[in-house]
Amino acid sequence: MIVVNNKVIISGSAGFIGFHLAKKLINMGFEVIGVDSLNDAYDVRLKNLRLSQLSNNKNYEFHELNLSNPNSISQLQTLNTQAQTFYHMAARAGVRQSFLEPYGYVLDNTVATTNVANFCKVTGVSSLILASTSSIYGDSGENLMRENKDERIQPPSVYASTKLSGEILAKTILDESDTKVLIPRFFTVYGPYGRPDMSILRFIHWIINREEVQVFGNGEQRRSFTYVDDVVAALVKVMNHNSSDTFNIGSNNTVSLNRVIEIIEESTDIKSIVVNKERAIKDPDVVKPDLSHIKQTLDWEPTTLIDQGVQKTVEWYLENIELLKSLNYINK
Amino acid sequence: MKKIIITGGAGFIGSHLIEKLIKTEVEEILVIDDLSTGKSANLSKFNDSNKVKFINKKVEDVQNLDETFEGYDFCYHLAAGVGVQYIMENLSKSLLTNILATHEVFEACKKNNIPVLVTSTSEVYGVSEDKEWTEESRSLIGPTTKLRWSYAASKMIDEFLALSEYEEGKLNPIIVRLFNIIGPNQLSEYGMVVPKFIDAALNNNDIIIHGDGSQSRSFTWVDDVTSYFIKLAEMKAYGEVFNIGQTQEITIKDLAELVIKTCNSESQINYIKHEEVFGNKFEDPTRRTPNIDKIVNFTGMTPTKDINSMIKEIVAHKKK
Repeated sequence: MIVVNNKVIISGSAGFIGFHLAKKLINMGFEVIGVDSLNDAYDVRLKNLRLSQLSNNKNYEFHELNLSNPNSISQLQTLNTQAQTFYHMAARAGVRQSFLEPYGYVLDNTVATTNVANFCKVTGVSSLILASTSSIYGDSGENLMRENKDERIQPPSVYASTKLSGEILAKTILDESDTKVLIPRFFTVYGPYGRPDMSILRFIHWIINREEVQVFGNGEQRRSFTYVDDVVAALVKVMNHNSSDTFNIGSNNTVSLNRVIEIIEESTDIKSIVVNKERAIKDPDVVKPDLSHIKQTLDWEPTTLIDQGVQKTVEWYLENIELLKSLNYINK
Repeated sequence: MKKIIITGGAGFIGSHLIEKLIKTEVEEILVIDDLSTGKSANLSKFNDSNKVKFINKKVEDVQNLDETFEGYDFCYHLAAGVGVQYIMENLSKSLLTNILATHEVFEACKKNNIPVLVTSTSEVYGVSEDKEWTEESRSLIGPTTKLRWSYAASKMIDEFLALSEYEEGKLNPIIVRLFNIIGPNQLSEYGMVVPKFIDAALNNNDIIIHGDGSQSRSFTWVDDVTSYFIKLAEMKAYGEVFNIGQTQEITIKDLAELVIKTCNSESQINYIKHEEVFGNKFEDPTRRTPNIDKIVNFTGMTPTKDINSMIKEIVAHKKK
């Protein structure tokens, strides 16, 4: 007898993308087991705001666990969820910060991923979906970055190194096991409930509060901004893919930071005060995804235009302005 | 028919149906059951079978039931709050299960063009004064203040819904009205008289009869029922209502004596008034016997066992 269940574990369910994914899967009828350490990498109030949107749903249960700690893995095993899918979205993000505290990034990214991969192997999870990042490609110039071809042996930041080693360890641990490893690599995701260290949200905050908009460099660096709803749609498609694979999830239409600022000005009708600062070390100029693989395999491409996405993010900021105003938008 | 859905498949009749279907050319049986009255033990005998898939949920809690039903060829909708005692103890809950879950199943069947066999009950005749209960007999159920009739009413709604959808060309339903089905693995805890009597007799406890024991019933062998189910599905008896039962009657008092004799038991018979068990919200029909001409003529199959051999077989199974 085959017991059919639609339970899904999402680590980092109080995080930006994990939260959106949890909301989507619950709406689709999945039972979501959310896991998050609720650490203070950024303001916990934002995590709690996300969690409050999910609680009171009978298809959502939450466990506060830090997956870099082996005890947490034992606790997760004790729950005996029999979940067939594990979305490992928990990670410590931020390129700049990673150079300042590499050890924390190794724990939260590499060690936690190792633990999760082991958990999947031992409990017979059929798909591990491991969130990764475009950062591992480094600066691409005008070239489109292709999966399993353009990865750097030495990624350009501590953050990218810890994520890439997580990918490699998960694949190695689960090689020839019953667990598929599916790796979505995100390219500059933005949208409502985003993190305060992300450029679009900081720009919105500064502009709406008529503060100086700090731009590193001349602001002409372009990003593959991808709206979070598009990313979640891709993640849902990834779940049903039948073999281990890696997918770029991003946008080919790169947009400069200066253009983003213009869009925010238009949407809020406020003129910004831009201050250009020195570029951070090894902050790549542009990373462009080759999307042919995900298009062909999963029939996915991003559909949200940057203007719409920014507009929705501005609206969300205004709805939650009291809390969002009080967050810290400057790096520690 | 290769792919079958059975709601309530962990129940008494459902698990017997799986046992029969699994031996046919059926490739897949999807069981949806929340194990509220069904038992996982009924399914454990299929643990080694790759044909059986199990969703441990209420039908109405399975979101996207439409998609879950995709690709199946036939649905046996057996999930229901069953047994008068269970109904009396779970009044509103069982009403809602019987109406809402059935509606959801019909909707999912419609979307996927799946014919559905719906189980109804002899309760829908109420205390009909017709001497023989044919499918066209006039129903006589009690007032809404007698809550035991809520079960009958909910099943009548199911039947009306099925037949209306059929009339409108949207659904292919087969309706069966079941009359006191018995067989191995039936639980006594939901007030089913035969397993209750047998449990009492095997333990030499008093057998308790509600009322004076003169009310009569007819009992039907579960394997005959599942054979009829499969036959009706094969024959595409859509839009039809069938009694499934047996015409041989036995009074409850005679049944108690037969059980005591078969079990070699020292049990005594104890009579108590209905009101003491269910309060004055209860009414019990004095007899309940179907006319089964329609299904016998339609399928060419007749019931295979009399009451003596049924009781003997259940007792033997119980002692194993």
